[in-house]
Amino acid sequence: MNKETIAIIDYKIGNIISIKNGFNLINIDTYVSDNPDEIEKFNKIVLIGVGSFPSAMSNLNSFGFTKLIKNHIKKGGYLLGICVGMQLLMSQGYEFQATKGLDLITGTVDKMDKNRKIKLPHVGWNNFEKKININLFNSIDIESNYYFVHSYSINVNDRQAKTMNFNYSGENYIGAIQKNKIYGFQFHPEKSQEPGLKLLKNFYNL
Amino acid sequence: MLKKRIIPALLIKGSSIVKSIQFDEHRIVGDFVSTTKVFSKRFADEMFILDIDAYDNNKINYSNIYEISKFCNMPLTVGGGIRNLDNAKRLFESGADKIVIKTSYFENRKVIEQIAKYFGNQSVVVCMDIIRKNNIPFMIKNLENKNPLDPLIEIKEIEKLGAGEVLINFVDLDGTMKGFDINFIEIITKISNVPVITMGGCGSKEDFLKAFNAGAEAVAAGSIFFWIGETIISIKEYLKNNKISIRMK
Repeated sequence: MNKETIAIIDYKIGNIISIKNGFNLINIDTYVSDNPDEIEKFNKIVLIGVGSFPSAMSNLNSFGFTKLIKNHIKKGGYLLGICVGMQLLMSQGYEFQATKGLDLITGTVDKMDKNRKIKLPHVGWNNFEKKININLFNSIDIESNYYFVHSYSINVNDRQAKTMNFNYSGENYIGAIQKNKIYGFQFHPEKSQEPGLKLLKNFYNL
Repeated sequence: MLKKRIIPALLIKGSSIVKSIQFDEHRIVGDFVSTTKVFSKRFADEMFILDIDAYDNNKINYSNIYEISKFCNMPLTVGGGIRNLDNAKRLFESGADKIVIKTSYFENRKVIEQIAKYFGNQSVVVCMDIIRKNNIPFMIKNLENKNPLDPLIEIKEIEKLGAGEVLINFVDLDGTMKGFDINFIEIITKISNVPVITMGGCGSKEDFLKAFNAGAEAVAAGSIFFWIGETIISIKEYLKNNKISIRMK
């Protein structure tokens, strides 16, 4: 079997080197490019993001990736969104101003405080509640912890989507999502030691 | 449930790891890489690389960070010498996940706002150097600082500028291993809207426990790992037995 290469979208906003290093540690080849025509050739694409929803979306648009990602999903390709890269999958974001997202999953991105006083960002290691319902987590201990760093979270209204929740200060939030071949992690698998790398390996093995 | 964090901090001064034997440039990178690998395996929750000379020398060693980040399978936080947005950009491109800003708060605090806007609040940690004078805590720029500030006022300004976390560094306790200023941690964590990391003075497992019970989200320490020989796992087991939410897997 040919060794598959994972494509990483470089739209000058994410910590590209971290995700590349993460795959490197488990001997998976990656190809980083800011050119949609090059990324188009790959079956598995990773979209990582840090920073704010509007600036990430605007960079994605200006590099011409919005159309590419939508076509990629139509053609049946795999996509993994990480952190803000996961939030971009949603219909709409509300960081600073209302901004249209990729709209691959119906839902919104909202600030986590919801009229209550909590410390933000939610930063550090957290685990998922209850049961595994996203296949990438199969064979990984449900009590494993992953590294999160964010102040916004997704709210989903899409029947085809499966989600997994974490708890912060007594409230549940979505930390992982799957809709067919689209996956999203709010945490950083590339920074989450053993269990995080296992998730990247499981994505590769899909 | 969110876990409390334990963060090994490697301090660089000139070309040596502080309070360690002299290394040349080549050795120091090698040493950092092997240290990073060890801490990654032993459940460190994050890693700090703080170059305490970089600001004076106006020299950030980006290639060091690039080498370290290859093996840093946990968040990598880098501080020292960050004066402008370009320094921050280059550090993130070299593999840093977060940056620590201290001196720029006194000299050009706009830069904190710029970096937070560009890379998000979560990417910026602001360090407050704290000393006690006549038993009153002050925030200082350096030990010769003539006009110390009131940390309880400054923390609100730091939040407004967009910092995602605050690092409380007890400079006069640093390296003493006498324990933290617990009373100050209790006060600052109550009024802070962002997570608080504490550093400077940690000398025993009990110091971690006291800091977490006082409200700190994370503890950064160096000496205890390098000089006492406590391991992160032994500290975590102790904390878990004392009902602190901590990551064991």
